[in-house]
Formats: sequence, C-alpha cells, structure tokens
Amino acid sequence: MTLNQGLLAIVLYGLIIISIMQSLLVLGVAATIIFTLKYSGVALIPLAIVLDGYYGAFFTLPLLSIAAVGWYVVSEVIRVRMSIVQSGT
Amino acid sequence: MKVQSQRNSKKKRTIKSALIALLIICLGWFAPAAFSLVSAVIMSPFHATNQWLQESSSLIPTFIRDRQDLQEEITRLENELQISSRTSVTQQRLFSENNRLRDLLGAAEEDRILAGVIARPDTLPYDFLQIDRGTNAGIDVGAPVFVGTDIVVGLVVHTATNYAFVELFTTPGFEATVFLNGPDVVATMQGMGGGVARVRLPQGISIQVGNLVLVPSVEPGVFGRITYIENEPTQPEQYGYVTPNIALNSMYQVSVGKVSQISQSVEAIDKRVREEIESSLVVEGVSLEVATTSTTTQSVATTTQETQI
Repeated sequence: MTLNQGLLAIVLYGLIIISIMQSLLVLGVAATIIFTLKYSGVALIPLAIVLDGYYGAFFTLPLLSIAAVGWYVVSEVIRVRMSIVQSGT
Repeated sequence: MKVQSQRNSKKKRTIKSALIALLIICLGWFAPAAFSLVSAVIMSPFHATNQWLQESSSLIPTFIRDRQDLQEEITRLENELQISSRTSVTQQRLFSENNRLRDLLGAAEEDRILAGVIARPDTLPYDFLQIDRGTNAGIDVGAPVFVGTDIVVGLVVHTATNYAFVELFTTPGFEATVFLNGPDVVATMQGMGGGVARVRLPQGISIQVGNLVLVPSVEPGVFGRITYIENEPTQPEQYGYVTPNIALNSMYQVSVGKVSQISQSVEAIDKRVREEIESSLVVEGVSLEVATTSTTTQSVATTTQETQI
C-alpha cells in the first residue's frame, strides 16, 4: 500500500463515520462501496462495532455490526466470483 | 491447483474473520456498557467533529446545515402540498354535495347586506363595530354579522337610518352557546374583551389549540378557533380562549344577515307550528259564517239607526 492509498483509505474511513453520524445516506453508501472495492470490507467491521457501541446499539440489537459482517461476506464472495471469471477468460 | 488452494485459504480466512467479528458482537451484547464506554473514547475526535458540523457557525458547517434544512423543508412542503391538494378535492366535493343537498331540501340562502366598518374597538370604547348601513338598507336589530362566508362575529344591537352598531361576541359579558369541534361538546362562551372570548369547560374534556368553535344558533356560524388553553389540574374547570379567524383591526367590510338566520327557541318554534296547524284547514272567503255574520251585523246596524231616528 502506497502513501496515497493509505491517505485515501483514512479519508474514506473518516468520511464513512461522518456521513453515518450526519445521516448522509448516499455519501455513506458510496464511500463504503469504494472502500470495499479498493481495500476490503473487513476493516468496516470494527468501525461498525465502534459506531454501534457509540450509539448504544449493544443494549438492543447491533444492526450496523451485523450488517457489516454480512456486507464483508457478500463482498468477499463477489470478489472471489469476479476473480474466477477473470481467470476463466 | 495453486489457484484453488489460494481460493480455499481465502474462503477460510473470510469465514474465520466473520466468525471472530460475530464473536466480538456477541461479547458486546453481553457487556454493552463496557463497549459503549470504549466506543465513546475511540469516537471522541469524531464526536467533536460532528458537534462542530452541527453547531458551529463557520462557513462549511453552516453550508451543510442550511442545505440539509432546506432539503428537509422541501420534503415537508411537498408532503403538505400533496395532503393539501387531496384535502382541497375532498372539500370541493363536500361543498358541492352540501349545496346540492341544501337545494334538494329547499334551504335557500338568505340575502346579506354588505357594510363597511367605519369604527372599530380601538376607537369605540368596547368590543363594538360601527357599520355604514342602517335601517334604510334593511338592517334590523339582532341580525348576525359575518366576515367572509360563514364566520359570524357578532350581532347588530342598535340601528339608525344610515349606520348601525354591532356588538361582538368578544364583548365583556356577552354569552353564547357554542359547539366545540374536536371534543364535540356544547359549552358557554363568554366575551372577555379585546377581541378574545373564553369557553369554560370541566376538567377531563380534551380540548386542543385549533379546535373550531361553532355558534349553532346562527346559520352558518363559525366563530373562530381556540388559540390558548388555560388548564390547571388543581382547578375544577379549564378555559379555552377563542379569537376570531380575522383580526378586529383587519375588518374592513362585513356582511349583515337577516334576523331569521338566528335560530329561535324551541317554545317559539312550537307555538308557530301550532298556529300553522290550527289555521291550516281554514280556506279564506268560502266560509258561510262570514256571510251570516255580516248580514246579521248589517241588520243590527239598520235596526239601531231606525231606533235612533
């Protein structure tokens, strides 16, 4: 990972947090997709856990964390499928 | 073979990561307070940034906030417009239906007399209006005075040839029986002065700001809305303060109805109906009794004259 990539990752990470806190849905979703495609969805899981903790969602149901795990699994499955298609061609 | 092995290891890694994450989530579920505390510490810089964005008067936060507010307002107004357009169609349908039913029942609308307001409560001592039409224009004492189509504001109490005085419902001491739309109760409204009337109700009846106040004695009679509620739980009564929909100082022209628009008492109606029933079988000019009586009267008169002579 180069310096630029690292900076971009930090910016995207921060952007996701702020967009969630500011309820900017479109921006949050876009940043999440870009982050997942460029890096990996696994880094979003601790972010989701921290946000759920911050909003007290562990007292009820930490939906964001569960969604992040689901998103990570789905993104990895898609990534594997895409690599199979690419290697097949 | 190597690629397959890489895929398998990646799959295993994904499953392993997901399971660890789920385990942490489960831990968080069992110790939510600890997770919240740790998260609050980690999120403190982001919390500060978020607060800055929400409360700061700097350029960027203000721009973001204004944009969000405007977006929310646009959404709200669009919703209101949708509701309003639907309500307008419903109102139009009800209005035409009402007119049709009134026509079918023969409820002809009464004529009104347009009058200009020449003096208002700020120049007159009490809640009175002076209007520029009087008995010459056909205005009678007791006639209801309207603003708009159906907002009744008071009654004519004195008429001269070219002017008349109107006593507003808000005049101190003025009392009227009103119907409150919403809780659907009948109550007595008392004038308080200064363009304000008061409805007194017992505790427990749910009245709200905006409830419509109707004057059933006058047809059609809407007076205004409840604008303020005085409700102390220790008191046996609650008060709703009512103001007309139009400010007194904004009254430029009013329309004066006929006295017959004011409903009469049950006794008066009963008496009138009884008179109508009792005289309904009388056919004018056909009765023999009338002719006999006149003949007898004539003969009696002739006899009297002869006796005098």
